[in-house]
Amino acid sequence: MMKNRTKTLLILLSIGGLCMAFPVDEAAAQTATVQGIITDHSDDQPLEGANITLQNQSDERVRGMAADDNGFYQFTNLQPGTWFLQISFIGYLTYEDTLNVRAGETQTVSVSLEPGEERLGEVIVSPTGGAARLEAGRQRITPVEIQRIPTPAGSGDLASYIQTLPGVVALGDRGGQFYIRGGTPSQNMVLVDGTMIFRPFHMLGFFSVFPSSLVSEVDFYAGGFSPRYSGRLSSVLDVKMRDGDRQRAGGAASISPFAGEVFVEGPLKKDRTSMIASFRQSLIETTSPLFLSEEQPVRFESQYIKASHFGTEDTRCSSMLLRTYDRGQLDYEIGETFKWTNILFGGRCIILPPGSNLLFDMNAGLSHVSNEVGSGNESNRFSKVTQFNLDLNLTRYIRQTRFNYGLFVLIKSLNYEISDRFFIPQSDHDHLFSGGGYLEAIVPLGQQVRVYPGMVLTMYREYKSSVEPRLRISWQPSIGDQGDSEVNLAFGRYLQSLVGVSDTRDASSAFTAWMAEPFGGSRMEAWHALLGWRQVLGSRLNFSIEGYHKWLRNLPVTVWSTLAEFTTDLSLANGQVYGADVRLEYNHRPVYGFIGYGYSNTEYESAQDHFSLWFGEPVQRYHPPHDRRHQVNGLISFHFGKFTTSLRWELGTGLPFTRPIGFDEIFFYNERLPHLNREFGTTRVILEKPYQGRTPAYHRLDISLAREFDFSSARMALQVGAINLYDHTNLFYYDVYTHRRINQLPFAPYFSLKLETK
Amino acid sequence: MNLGVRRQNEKVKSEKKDGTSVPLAPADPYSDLSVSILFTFSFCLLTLAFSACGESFQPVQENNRYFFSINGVLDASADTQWVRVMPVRESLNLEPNLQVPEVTLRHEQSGQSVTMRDSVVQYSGGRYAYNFWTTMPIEPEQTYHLTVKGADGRDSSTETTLPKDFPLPAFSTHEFEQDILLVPGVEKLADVQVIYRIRIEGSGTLFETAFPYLQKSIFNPPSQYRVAIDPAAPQASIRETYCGITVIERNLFVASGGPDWPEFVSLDRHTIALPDGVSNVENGVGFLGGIISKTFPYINALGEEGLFAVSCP
Repeated sequence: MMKNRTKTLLILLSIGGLCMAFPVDEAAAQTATVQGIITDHSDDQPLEGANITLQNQSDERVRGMAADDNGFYQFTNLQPGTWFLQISFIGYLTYEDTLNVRAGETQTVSVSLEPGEERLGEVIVSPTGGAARLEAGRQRITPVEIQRIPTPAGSGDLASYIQTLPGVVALGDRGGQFYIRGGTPSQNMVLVDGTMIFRPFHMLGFFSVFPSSLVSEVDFYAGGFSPRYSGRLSSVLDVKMRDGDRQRAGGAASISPFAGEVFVEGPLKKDRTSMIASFRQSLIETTSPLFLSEEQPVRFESQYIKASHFGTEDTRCSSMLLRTYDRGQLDYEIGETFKWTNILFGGRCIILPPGSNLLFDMNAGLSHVSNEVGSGNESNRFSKVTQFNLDLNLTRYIRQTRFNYGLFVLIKSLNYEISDRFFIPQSDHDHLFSGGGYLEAIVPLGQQVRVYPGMVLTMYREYKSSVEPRLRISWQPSIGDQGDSEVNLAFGRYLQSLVGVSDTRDASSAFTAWMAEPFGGSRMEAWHALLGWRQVLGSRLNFSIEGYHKWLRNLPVTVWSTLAEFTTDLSLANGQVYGADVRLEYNHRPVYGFIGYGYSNTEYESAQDHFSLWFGEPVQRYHPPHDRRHQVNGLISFHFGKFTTSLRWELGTGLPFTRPIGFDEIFFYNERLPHLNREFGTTRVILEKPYQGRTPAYHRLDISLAREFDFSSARMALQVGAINLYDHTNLFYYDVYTHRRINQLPFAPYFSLKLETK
Repeated sequence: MNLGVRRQNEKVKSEKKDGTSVPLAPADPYSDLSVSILFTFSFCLLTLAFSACGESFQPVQENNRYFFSINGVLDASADTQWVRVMPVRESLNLEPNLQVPEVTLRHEQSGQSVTMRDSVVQYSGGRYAYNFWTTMPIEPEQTYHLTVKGADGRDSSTETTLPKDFPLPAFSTHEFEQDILLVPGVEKLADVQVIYRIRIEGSGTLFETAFPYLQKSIFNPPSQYRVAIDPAAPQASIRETYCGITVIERNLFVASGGPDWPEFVSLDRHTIALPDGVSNVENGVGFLGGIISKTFPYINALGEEGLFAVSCP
């Protein structure tokens, strides 16, 4: 024990030392540094990808770089003298300046770029986003893209958008669960301004806590994510929320048969402090009898408020409070009622101290989720998690190499009671402590290759310390005249100590119990390997293809059993996922469209006690119930005058399920002989090997037509549309016990009205 | 923030990660019209293709292997034999009036056979089952074949052999320790229970409650079982559960299984529940075993009968 503590202390000291006494560049005293933060003048958001060039006026030598996701740039080792600074970005006015730099000086030049005529004219230019802009598993999503997906509400929603991505599997239009490249929902990390949210998607699958009106930008990593993110196996959805307008007050209100939303923003102290608040409430429970053939007993709501403060120097701090509530039945006629609530409180500061060459990005957050299942007002199972996180992220450059590094602390409190569904473990209350650090370097090798080596070091109170090495390589073989192209490679190890246990016999289950590993010390582990190619074809077409392979270990899965009972045992499985995502995107006014295809093959391997007797082999391989093999998504939208029409079509091949042969009653004889005239017996479903059947393919066409009306001080948007236009009967799940088929939404017409201030 | 000199940016530029901007070729080979037509055409084609074709969904696998579920034991010590025979059904819920099959029990050595009589037994929750019975004598070390024939011609069958008879078990006990039951002459122990016969005071109604000890049995080769019985635990359980009762009888029930009796004690529930896990039924599921049982008063070596009364407070 003592030895472990000493080891942990040594590792902590090493990380601290790494962060505090990062290698000092000896040449810095004779050279100078120019750095700053680039933002959009219209909304004060960082402009990632803005080009910054410095040209030495004496020898004409040029150095250049792109701003990062905080808008940060930094040139080190500049020769003292006069330099010509140019900052540009598509759709913005270029900024130019001449700088005189002195030896040993750190000069901060932060710039707010003003939108150019094109952007003001609403020509959509999205150099870092787009459905085909896929880079080693990462995709940048902007509110403009979210808004393009037809959603039965006044504004677009991230939940609707990410379902259009080829690697994302939604089991239906309810449940709020997403499976990303073979990973389960509990293996996804969703961050709101740096704070984890456990259940971000509402029960009705079109909606999340991220309407487009609140989102600034989203980084979506379907795999191969950087060392900055740790603690999850599958994916990262890093959502940065908008700051409120610092200059003037505004707001919007919208209504549709599905949901209503009100949002307001404005300055609390002009130019310095702003706020933004949103209130969203579902209406479908009330309205569904009027416009749908069946009632939809689903209710969700969310309340969100964020305050942002912009300091005199390059300092930006914000705090936010978010609450969500969901309640509903997945089987609308009978069945259990699921409920979940999220409460988040978080704060974040990004600081570039004058004279310092470090960018500080700090955040602290408290996230609570409670999830329960029951009949009526009684709760049969519940799970609660409260998590506190404290992160410090630092960025600096040494010569041409960029270093991202930081420290993090996580404290989790877990509480669950699941005895009516799982034999072991049944209920517990636990506290988990972990902390660690990460380091990632971005090393340019010539003009065309960049290497991103990195690692995460995590220490736990309960388990052994772990190291997660990660590597990404980017190669740009051609730029400009030959067409912009990029080849990416990523490889890395990912660990997860917090396990989300759900009943995998039933893929549609919306209940997850969060616990420390149920088998003690068997942390879930994944290795990711990605290889991608992105090609810009002219100025209007983007193409990307990315192949991936994941190796998975120690996943808790439900024991295969023929007993027709809710309670089940857990076992461990290993697995692998491989597949490829292909996307083609066209974007030129007045047409926008994309087609995406995803292939995925998920296979688990599990050894369970009775497999030898059942199958003659102790180990079985199978495709879990979220293994969707093929997926196609398409969107096309036309913009003509004040009208915009969009068509979205999606197709997913069937999901594995277990086909029953018949039912009977069984007696066990292992405790005593049966008394036939007193005992009915335990009902059994007689099965072939599980997950051998496939549900029918799922496909749906959604359509919307929107028109904007301009008034002197307000704008009104009217939208009419329909979900499942050709009324295809899509299966949500099939109850093998009762032979009841639960379908997804039928043809559902809707309208929405949105009124917003100009 | 600095708001310095600005000029309108070039209309089309490509960004490179190192920050340099390179103008693209002015001529764009992909015309708006052709691409729009391509997208729209592909979209419509795919939509039409999939909306037109309906996919059939067959959730239940055709059952051509398991026709009947057969469960129970043939007990050479019992006057009446009971066997549960139910058709394997398609749904979890019991359909009313499932067809009653014909059940025949044949003594293999003599060829004598009997058609078992059906009895519909009602259970809680409106559930029911067909329990078939016969008074045909069942003998130790004999083999019996049971055949079930449905009205649709489908049939299932099973066969079981009874064990040889065994002497009455004996106690080995010491004061303040558990009672030790020694069961000699048994190769496969099928059951050990302590059965308390209880009378409800006032109404005089009698009922039984049983406490199983099979899981506490230890096999001493070649043919003896040793079972540890704690008499205090059942008594405490009865005192906690009931009041206004009197325990009027305490018996031990011991059963020996035939040579084909599976090692149920060492199997988990999932294994036993497998359709082919322990089943000895052809074209069906379930298990029919052959046993010899002995029921005798539980009077331990110290002469204690364990009879007591519990009054209500």
